[in-house]
Amino acid sequence: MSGLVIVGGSYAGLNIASSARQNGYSDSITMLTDEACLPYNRPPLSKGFLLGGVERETLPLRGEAFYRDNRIDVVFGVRATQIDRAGYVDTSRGRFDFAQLAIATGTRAKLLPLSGAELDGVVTLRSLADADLIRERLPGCGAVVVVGGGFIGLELAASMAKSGLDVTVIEGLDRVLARVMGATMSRYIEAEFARQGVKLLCRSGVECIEGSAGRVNAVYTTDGLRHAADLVVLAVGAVPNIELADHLGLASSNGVLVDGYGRTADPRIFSAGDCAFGFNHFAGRPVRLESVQNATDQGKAAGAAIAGREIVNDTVPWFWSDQFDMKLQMVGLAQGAEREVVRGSIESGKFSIFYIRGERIVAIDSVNSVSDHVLGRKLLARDHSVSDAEVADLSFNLRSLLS
Amino acid sequence: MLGATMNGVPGIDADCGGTLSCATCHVYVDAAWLDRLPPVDETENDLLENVAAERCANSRLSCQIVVTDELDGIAVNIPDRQF
Repeated sequence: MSGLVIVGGSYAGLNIASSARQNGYSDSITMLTDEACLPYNRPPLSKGFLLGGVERETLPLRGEAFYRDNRIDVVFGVRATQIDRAGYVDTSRGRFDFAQLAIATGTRAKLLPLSGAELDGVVTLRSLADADLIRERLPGCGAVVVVGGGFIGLELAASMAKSGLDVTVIEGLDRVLARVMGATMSRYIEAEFARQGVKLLCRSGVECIEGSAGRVNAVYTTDGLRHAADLVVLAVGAVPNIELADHLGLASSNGVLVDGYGRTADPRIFSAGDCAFGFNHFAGRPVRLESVQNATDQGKAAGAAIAGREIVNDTVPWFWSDQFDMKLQMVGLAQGAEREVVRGSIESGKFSIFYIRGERIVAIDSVNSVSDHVLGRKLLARDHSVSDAEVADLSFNLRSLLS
Repeated sequence: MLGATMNGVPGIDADCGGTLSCATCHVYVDAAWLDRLPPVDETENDLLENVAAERCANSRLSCQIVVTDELDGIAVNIPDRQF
């Protein structure tokens, strides 16, 4: 029984492996993935890859040489079914022994128990295979209904509108991105989507999906309206894949329980990424974050812990999304903010919303304002004190707060 | 950037995958090659203002350098840290 087995082959899995090596782990490393390819960039799947601007060859996060040089053995098309504390994991391709195990199983798309959800043409997007399926279908499509006004739903809606499709977005809450952004930002984004010709229906639910001969035709909203659709995308959030850890009592319903180093209660078992619910230094409490940054940094911490080194995951959370000509960048966590202050010009499409508690900035959402975002990634990690007037004043140099 | 990530060259984090969102693929371009690159646009400039290592006159984000035949032989140095 030796070596590290990583269940999951995406950002977290890759970073666990590379960080373990960088920190001196010398035993074997085996990465199990249920996909057919090396870990790849997921953000382009809803954007550039869908539209054809980003080619498949550029998607891998690291090339084959990286895995060979770092002695990371990737096993494709294998699904873990059960972990045994005796030191092995059962999979669809037999038993893998481990001395240490990392759970980096990510999330799966949340499904809706709707009549018609099983029809051909009703899709979700998590993986490259999902994106391939959507891409294949687009040429024959006229109208698309996207259920869910979160990041993936809006990115897909923007991409499809760009390629000339008639797009409707159905959102249950009273505004888009309500879970992750303040109202000012939601309204700005909604206006931009409307300007680009996307129909946006907030406070709206799906009654059922209609089809004929097994193929989707339309979506009915709860107000009784029919929305014709050749393709329906369900983008209503994600569910953490916690089953392997839950079986061992290492998970809550919201994720695999880890500390700030990616360690579970079992000293040999670690977890990171979208599936992990762990103490976040910046938040000051446990959170589960679905982001590339978190998967990367939590993965690095877990990899170091596996190699016997403590590197705390203390990065300020950050996120990004590209929709139409809006480069959206978010840093920090707005929960608990008392006020929103605008810096820049909303009319010109280049501004940031600063979320403030007391005299401290807790989050910044930016539109086409890269400087505010990157500065925020440094500033939010430090003690600072700023007034609302200073934040709103473009002649006040925010960088002065760093010193 | 892809040249580094695909070939296992350490020191290029490339967290955002080349979408001009993160400033973790910073490089110093050998002076002889600097003029052959496309100019720094506003977004890249804003990101370079905030790179972790020192920004120099030859600082670029490698995601904005598309390798062509003309750039065959280009030399770049990688900073000591990306964030």
